[in-house]
Amino acid sequence: MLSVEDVTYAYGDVPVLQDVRLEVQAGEILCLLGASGSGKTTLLRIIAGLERGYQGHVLVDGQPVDQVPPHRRGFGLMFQDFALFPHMRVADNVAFGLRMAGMPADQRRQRVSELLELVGLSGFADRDVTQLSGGEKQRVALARSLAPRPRLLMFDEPLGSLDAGLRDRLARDLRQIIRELGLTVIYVTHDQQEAYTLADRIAVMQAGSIAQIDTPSSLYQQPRTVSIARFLGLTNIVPVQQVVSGRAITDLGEFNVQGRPAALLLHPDGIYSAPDGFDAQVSEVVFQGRQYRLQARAADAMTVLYYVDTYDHDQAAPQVGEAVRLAVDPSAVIELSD
Amino acid sequence: MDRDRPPLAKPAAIGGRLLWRALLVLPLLFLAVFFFYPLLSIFDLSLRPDGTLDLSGFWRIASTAYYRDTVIFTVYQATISTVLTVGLALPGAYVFTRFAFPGKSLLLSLATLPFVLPTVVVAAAFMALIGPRGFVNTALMDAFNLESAPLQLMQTLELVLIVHVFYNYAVALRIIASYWMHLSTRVEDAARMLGASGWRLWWTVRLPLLRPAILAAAALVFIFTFTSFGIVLILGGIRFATLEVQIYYQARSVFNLPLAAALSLVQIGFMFLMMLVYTRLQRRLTVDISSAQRVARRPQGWREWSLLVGNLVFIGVMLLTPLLALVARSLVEDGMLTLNYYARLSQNPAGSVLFVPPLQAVGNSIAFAGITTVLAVVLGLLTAYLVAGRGRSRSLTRWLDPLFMLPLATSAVTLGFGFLIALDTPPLDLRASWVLVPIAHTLVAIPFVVRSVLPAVRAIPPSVTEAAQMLGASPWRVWRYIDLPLLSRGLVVGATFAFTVSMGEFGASLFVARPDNPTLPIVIFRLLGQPGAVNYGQALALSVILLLVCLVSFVLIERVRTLGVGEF
Repeated sequence: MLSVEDVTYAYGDVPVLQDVRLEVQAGEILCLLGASGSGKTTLLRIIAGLERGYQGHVLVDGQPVDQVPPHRRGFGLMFQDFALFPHMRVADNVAFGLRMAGMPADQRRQRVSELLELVGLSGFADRDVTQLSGGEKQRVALARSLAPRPRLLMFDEPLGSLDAGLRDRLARDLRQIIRELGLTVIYVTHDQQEAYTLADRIAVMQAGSIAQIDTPSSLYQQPRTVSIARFLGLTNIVPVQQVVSGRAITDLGEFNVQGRPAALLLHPDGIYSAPDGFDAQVSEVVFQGRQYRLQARAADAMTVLYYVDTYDHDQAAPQVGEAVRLAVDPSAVIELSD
Repeated sequence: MDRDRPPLAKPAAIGGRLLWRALLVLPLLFLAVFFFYPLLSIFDLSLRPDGTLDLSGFWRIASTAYYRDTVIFTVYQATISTVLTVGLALPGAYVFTRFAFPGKSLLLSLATLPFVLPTVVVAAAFMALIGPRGFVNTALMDAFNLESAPLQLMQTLELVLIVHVFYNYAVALRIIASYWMHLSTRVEDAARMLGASGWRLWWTVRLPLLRPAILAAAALVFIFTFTSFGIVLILGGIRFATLEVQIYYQARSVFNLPLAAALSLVQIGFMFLMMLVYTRLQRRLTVDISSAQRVARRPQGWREWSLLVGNLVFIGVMLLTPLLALVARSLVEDGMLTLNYYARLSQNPAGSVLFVPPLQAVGNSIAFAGITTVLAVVLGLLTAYLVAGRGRSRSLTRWLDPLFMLPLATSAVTLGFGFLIALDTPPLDLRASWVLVPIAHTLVAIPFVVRSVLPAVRAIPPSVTEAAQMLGASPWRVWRYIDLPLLSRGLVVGATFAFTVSMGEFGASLFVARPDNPTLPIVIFRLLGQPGAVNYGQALALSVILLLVCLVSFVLIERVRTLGVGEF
């Protein structure tokens, strides 16, 4: 439905985006996940038409829209600060897009009340938007951007300014509404949990480029590079010294590999104690309910993170200082490039 | 979801963008033609009166005792006015900082009323109070059976100084008090613990701490009184000519334009220096303000009570008596209460100094003020957008802001004189046209509109206008439905300022208004300069009309301003 072709953008002398390529399918939720400064919001603004002076093209259904101003693209964008119109009531905010589209007043009223019901704000129509709580503002902003039925709806960190508990609940609500309406969505966030909750596919952005696009589970299980793995919080990264006939030699022993990786990720979910593993010493134990989160110091002061299920009765509860032997399931050895 | 959508719209025409850029150039163009061009003409005429470099005008100013005295007197009267004003405002600021009392904020905003009052109205008000025909003199004459007025203040320096205090008291009070309110009390407490009290506390702690505020207030009052024109011209007369009055006299009575230009250049030089000093002082005001807010309390003991009451009585008497005297005196003829002076405003008696009935001047002024308001609001709004510089480079906007404040820092007489000598040759021969009046007024009013609207323009978050675009609003509709409603308060305040400034403008109008199309202040000025009770009464009646217009504006501005607090 939407294609971004080789988009490059610089703010003054500072490069912000470099040769970004992206495809979004109709009905898909794509998350742009990246740290601040990775260029994800700029990419969103370019797609929206709010940013000009870039190289490359944005296409909708194969047609370039680079010269189409934002108000004629038929896209929706929900801003991080919600950007509600402070001089209008809730209902007028929601109805704004319909009014611009020339919908008659009675139909407008009908649609506004439908939308307010959808986001759980029935009865808020006549409220002053400046008097609303953060979560209520977010819902008004959502209803407002849904109202004109955008062909593509974009979210710029819509939950970023809310507190953690509210954020999780609203992310799930949002997912349900988006699914129900079958919307095509680009969702910008720096929070991987939010991205996992919402996305069909996640595009990880780093330093102005898209580093990897994958489904949430593939991304989490098989990050492609060292920096993506680090960004996702997967820190069991061992440098590869050399690869000899399909065996990668590391400080923690030898592992079977297919290519010539720069480093290996020993995925914490595939690490277990076994007599034939490498030696390590437990340095931290955190009880997390259904599992223990453990840090163990291995050779060369490398710290390895792994988990032990609370109900794994074969193992006694680990102790700090305990010597352990750890093995890695072959499927949990992920080859990383630089 | 996409089924019922129209196909993607065609690219936007680039005409809208170009039109917007062209609109933004308008204020710059206006400023160039009607401010810088006249200003350059003054430079040209003073430095090259006959086409070659000739500095004899300046030599004449420096070598002739009369002109030298004008410069000295201008500085002298401004200095005394400043010392008096700041000296009287200091105890007032103390009272407003330290004490809590009912009606405090109302009084503080009332104290700024003189700021919107036209000079002719204030001059007429003081004449109604302490002039030869004023209340105080008639009362004294009645009481002691005197033949002539015992209090002869007209054409004295004392009267000019009193009126300057009337005008500038609130300016000094506000600057000093608002600074003082943000100073921590701890330093003072510490000094008190170390044994300082009474006068020593003032000299060693309070005054040094307040120095930045006192100096800034003094600089501003000095600037205002240095360029005082109407007050000096009407109440002081040519005997006490300041530079402003001398420029007017040389240009309009003696027709020595090169000398007037040279005097203007001296004046511009002084103003430039003082604005430089003021902006430096003002910058110091923002630093070293401690966050600790001083808490005002009820006064204790007879000394504090008498200080409070004394200051409040002073403010009340100073503000109200001249204005009340003006209204009352306009209603009294030969000791009888009457509306005679008002009734006669529509007639033009034979042998009058005026070409038109006085009431027509009211119509003229309202028409001019209407045109000024429209021009100043449109240009001021565009200027605010230009200065706010959405997405434009900051370095550009940094010098645009002071650029548009320049007409405010240039005296009205200089503006008027510049018009007189610059706009008299084709293609800009506007001497015979009435448009010069609203144009001059617009120049003075634009800074007020910019000051009222700019904060509102800056306060509109970019995301809000972008959200409107994303919802399908074209740039014009974004402005119509988002910007305009959010700017409406600022625009109302700016428009009211523009209207009031135009109604009361005197200095520039005196140069550019045509005799058959006089403005209200000019008619008042002419009538005040004439002998006879009828002329005097009519002048007062017209002043009351002008006063009422300004009062309504003042109330409107204060209302809209206070309503704006805490909204959005």
